[in-house]
Amino acid sequence: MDYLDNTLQKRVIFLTGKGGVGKTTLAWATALACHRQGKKVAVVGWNPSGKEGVPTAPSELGIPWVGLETLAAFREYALQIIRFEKIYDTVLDNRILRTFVMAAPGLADAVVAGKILDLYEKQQHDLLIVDMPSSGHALSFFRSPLGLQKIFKMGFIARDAERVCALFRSPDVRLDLVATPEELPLVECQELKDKLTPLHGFTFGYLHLNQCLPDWIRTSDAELALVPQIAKPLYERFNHRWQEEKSVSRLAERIGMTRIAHDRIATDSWKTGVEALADRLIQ
Amino acid sequence: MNPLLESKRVWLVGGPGGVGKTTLAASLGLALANQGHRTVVLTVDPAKRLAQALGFKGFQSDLQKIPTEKGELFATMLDTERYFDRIIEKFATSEDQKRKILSNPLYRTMVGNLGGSHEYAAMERLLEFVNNPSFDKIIVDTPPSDNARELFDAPQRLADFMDGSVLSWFQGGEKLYMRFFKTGTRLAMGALKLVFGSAFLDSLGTFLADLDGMQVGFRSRNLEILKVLRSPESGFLLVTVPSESRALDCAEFAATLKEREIPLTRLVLNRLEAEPPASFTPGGPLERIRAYQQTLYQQQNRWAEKTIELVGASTLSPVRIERRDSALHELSTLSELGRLLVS
Repeated sequence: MDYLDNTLQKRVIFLTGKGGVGKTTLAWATALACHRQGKKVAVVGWNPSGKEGVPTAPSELGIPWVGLETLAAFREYALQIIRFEKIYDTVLDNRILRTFVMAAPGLADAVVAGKILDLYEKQQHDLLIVDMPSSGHALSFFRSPLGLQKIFKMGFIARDAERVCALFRSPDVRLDLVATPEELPLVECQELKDKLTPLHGFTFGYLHLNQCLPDWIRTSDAELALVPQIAKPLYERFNHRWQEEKSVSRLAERIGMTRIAHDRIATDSWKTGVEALADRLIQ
Repeated sequence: MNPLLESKRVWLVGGPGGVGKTTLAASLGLALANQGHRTVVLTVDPAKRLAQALGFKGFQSDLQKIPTEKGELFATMLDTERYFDRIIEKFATSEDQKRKILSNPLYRTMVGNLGGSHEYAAMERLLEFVNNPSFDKIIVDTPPSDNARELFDAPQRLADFMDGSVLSWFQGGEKLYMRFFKTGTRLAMGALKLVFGSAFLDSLGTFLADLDGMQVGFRSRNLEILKVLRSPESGFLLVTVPSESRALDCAEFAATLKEREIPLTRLVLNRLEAEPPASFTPGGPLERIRAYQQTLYQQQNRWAEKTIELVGASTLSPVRIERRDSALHELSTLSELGRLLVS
C-alpha cells in the first residue's frame, strides 16, 4: 500500500488534526504496521502520564512509547550545555526556572521539539510516529523555533532552534493531517494547512479521513423494501450518514493533500481497533 | 426546567476534544435566552466554530447579537492577542509604559505563542462578564486544551510568570534575580547565560522592568476565578461521546475538578448511537449492517456506563443525547437541545 511504503521510507511522521478524530489510534496502528514490516519504530506522544488517549498499556502492542515531558526534556537539554548535573540541580532546578520554562514564549514547545530532534539524531529508532496535540497546539509547536530565533537571536537556543527548523523541512520528515468525514474537522485541517504551509517547507503527506462508514453500509431501495417498518430507520440512517460523509468529504479535495480513507471499525476495545486498522494498512 | 439548574448564572462547558462542546454551549445559550434571559456565550476557539454552529460566518471578538424568540443572546469570540493588548492598556500606569510594552518584540511573540494564553484570556473574560450585572447567564465554551489540567493550570502558570514575586527577581537595575540563587551567583549566572544567552536575559530583564507597577493586573486572578467556579451559581457541564479513550479523559477531568473543589453539575453523553431493533434479525448483508450498529451501540453503552462510574456521576442523572443525522444549523433544533441540558 502506498501509505505504508511511503511511511517506511521516512524517519519522522507528525500526525495532527482536530481533537477527537482518532490521531492516537492512527498513530499506533501506523506504528504497528511498520513494526510488522520489521522497522524499529517508536510512538512519541505528549501526555506525560501516558494516560490520556492511550488506554491500553503501550507495551501490550510491543512498541515503545516515548513521552514528551517539558521539564524533563529541558533538563536533558540544559545538561548537554552545562554538563554537570549538580550545577543544574542546585542552580537551575527551582521554581522560577520551572515557571519560566513552562510559561516563556514557545520555550516549552521548542524544548520538546528539541527532544524529537535528539531522538531523530540518536537513531535508536528507524521511525518515529509523533502523535501530536490537536491543531491549535500543533500550530504553536511548529511556530515555536521561529519565535525563539527572533527572541534569542544568538547562543545555544537560537542555534538549536535553527536545527529544529532544519528537521521540519527535511525530506525524512512527513506531516500528515487527520480528520473525520465531518465539516468542522475538515475545515480545521484546511486552516491548519494554510497556516503551516509558509512556515518551514514541510513535506505534507496524507490527509487521513478517519472513521468513515464502510461502503457496504448502504442498502439499496430494493433491499430496503423488504425490511419491516420497525427496522427501516436503522438502514435509512446509515444510507443518509454515508451520503453526508461523501458530500462533506469534497471539502477534503480542496486541501490539496493525498487522501486516504480509513473505515470505522466496530471492535470490542481500543487495542483490537488498533490491530484491525494496522492489518488494513498492511493489506 | 430543573429549578436547581435554572438558578445557575455561569455555565462552563468542558470535555475532551471533538465531542460537540461548542454546539452544546451555543444550544444552552439559545435555550436560556429563549426563556427571557440576557445571555452571553463565550468561545475561545480561533477556528470560529461557534459561528459555524450558529450558522454565522466570520464574527468577531465584539459582542455579536444572535436572533432569538425571547430574551437576548450575544456571542463573542476571544481574540487572545487583542485581549492581552487591552489588559496592558487597562493596567499600564502611563502612556509611555503602554507604548513600550505593546511594541516590545518579546511581548508580541509572547501573546501570539504563549502556552496558556487562551485559557488565561478565557478565564479573564469570564470574570469580566461575571462582574457585569447586565448579563443574566454566562456560558463559556472552554478552549481545546490538551487535557483538563491545562484549562485550570495554564492561567495560573501565566499569572505566576507575570506575578510580582517572579517579576521582582528580574526587575530593577540591580537584577534581583541573581539573589534568588543561593549557591554561587556567578555560577548561576554563568549557567543561565550559557543556556539562554546574555542577550536574551537582558531583553527579558528590560521587558519585565517595563511591566513594573502593573503586577496588580495579573496577580491573584486565579483565586477570584476559583471563587466564581466554586459558587453555587456556577455549573460545570462535562460533555463526552462515550468511548474507551474518552472515558479516561473524563475521569481526569472529574479528578481535576475535584482537586479544585469545583462541583461537576452534569455529565452529558452526546452523539449516542441508536439501539437496533431486537426483533429484527435478517440474514446476509442486512444482518452485517445490523450487527455493525449493534456493536457500535453496545460498545458505546459499555463506555457510557464506565464513564458515569469513573466520574462518579451516577447521582447526577446524566443527559443522554442521541446522535443527529445532519449538521446542526437550525436555531430551533439547537434551542431544543439546549433545553435538554438543563431539564
